[in-house]
Amino acid sequence: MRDVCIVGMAETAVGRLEGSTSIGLQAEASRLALADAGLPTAAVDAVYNLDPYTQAMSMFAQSLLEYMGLTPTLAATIDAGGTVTPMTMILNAIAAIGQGYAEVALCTFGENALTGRPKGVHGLPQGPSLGQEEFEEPFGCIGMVIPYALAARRHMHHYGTTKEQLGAVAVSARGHAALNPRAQMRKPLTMADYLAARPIADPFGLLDCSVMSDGAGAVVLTTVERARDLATTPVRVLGFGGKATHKNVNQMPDLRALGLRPAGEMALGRAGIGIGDADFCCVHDAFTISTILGVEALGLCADGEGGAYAAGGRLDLGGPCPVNPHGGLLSHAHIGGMNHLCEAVRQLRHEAEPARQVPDARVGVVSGNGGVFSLCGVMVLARGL
Amino acid sequence: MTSEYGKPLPRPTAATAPFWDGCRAGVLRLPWCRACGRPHFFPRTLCPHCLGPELEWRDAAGRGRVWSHSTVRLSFWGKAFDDSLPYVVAIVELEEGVRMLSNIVGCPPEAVAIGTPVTVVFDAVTPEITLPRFTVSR
Repeated sequence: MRDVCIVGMAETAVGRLEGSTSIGLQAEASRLALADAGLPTAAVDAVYNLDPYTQAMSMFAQSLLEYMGLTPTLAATIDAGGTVTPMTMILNAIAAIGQGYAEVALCTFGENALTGRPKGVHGLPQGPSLGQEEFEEPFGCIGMVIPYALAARRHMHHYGTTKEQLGAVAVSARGHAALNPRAQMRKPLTMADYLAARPIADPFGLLDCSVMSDGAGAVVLTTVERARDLATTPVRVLGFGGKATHKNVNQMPDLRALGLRPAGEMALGRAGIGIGDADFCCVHDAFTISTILGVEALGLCADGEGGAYAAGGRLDLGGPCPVNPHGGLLSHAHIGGMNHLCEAVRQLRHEAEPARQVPDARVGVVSGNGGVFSLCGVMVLARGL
Repeated sequence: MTSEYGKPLPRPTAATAPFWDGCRAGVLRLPWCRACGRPHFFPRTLCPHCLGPELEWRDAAGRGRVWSHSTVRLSFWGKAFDDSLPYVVAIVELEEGVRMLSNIVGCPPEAVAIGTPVTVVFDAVTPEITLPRFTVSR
């Protein structure tokens, strides 16, 4: 196996991008990431992407390579869900390059989820979803907000987690986004604002939910050998761990049996580090409860203490291990978690704005899930070769 | 097809029709595996515990407890749920040990808590489809 690393990363603008298309956004992020890496388009021989959630399409990797004029050896559309999708793209890239089937791999996701979604639809539709349409939707459990609200309610019941503690997650994310000129939601957010937000599905109000976004991100990988001749600071994948338990919320196990913890343990074990060695974490925060469960599962705090951890300011920049220094899905943008990977690369390359750069960041942990904590994944990334 | 009912409806398959037929007849039924002797839900073509393909339907007690719940205050399906707001989505753990997602009806949302005992009630939303919902047990 040849050693592989991330040598290119780019994001498009995010937010309301009128007239944008999902494929155009993916192509733009890909173009920028290749330029960032200093690699010619013709060098790409593996392409991994995901079709838009808001408009499911088949063989979208082929659509992208055709759009960009690429003629790779390998191309695949990967739908693992949420942040685990880009992680799985990266794992495929590492395998393909490591085994010599490819030299340069492009991994991208983006869509016009804000301006391109069907009218009258609230939040992110699940799309064709075996199980949900027959045993959830007829009862009015539609989309992702209600399933996560059901998970949050269990956390509140078991551990006494409060609405204000959920709010601390939203306020922290917004505080980071306010320092990030790329973020979609930069207006300062107070706890009073949070508590006054429109109720959606108890215990969630509008500000417990991530934003809807247009935008895209991309990363480029190649061999460590080739990376030595490139200008960017390489970022290595030290380890990955994953665990799937179910798909829809009606089959979700109890909170302590979710895949977040085994995924984290596997990833940290594979990397040979402890969570105390992480300089920052990017935790998939589709909803405020996600961050609380995420920091608990990673071992940043004990089970049930995630709410107090957030309320104590421990997520914040300047804290022991800043979480989502870009503002996360809650306030930066929700592009399927692609930006969590992009932000980790940016922090490890020390290219974030000074106000939000984690000092001397060398190890970053990305934790996420697809669905309703359905497939969980954790990836450990490190600066340099 | 019905013309008035605008909310999403289940489309029963061969594997799930006995469940929906039961609901229409006012009986909550669960599939049980003949190989491992365990029930499961949702209904499917094989047992998710042991992959046994031989299943049989048994009447359930129709009683359970609220496993989690959320009071929904926004229609996520166009305006179709506007006339139901607010409504309670809940996951109910049945006495048989399986969980199903449904609604808690017939009480104010504040009366619903995790652990609340509930009993099935049947709501014939169309001539073809009856949805099993739950009400707080007396």
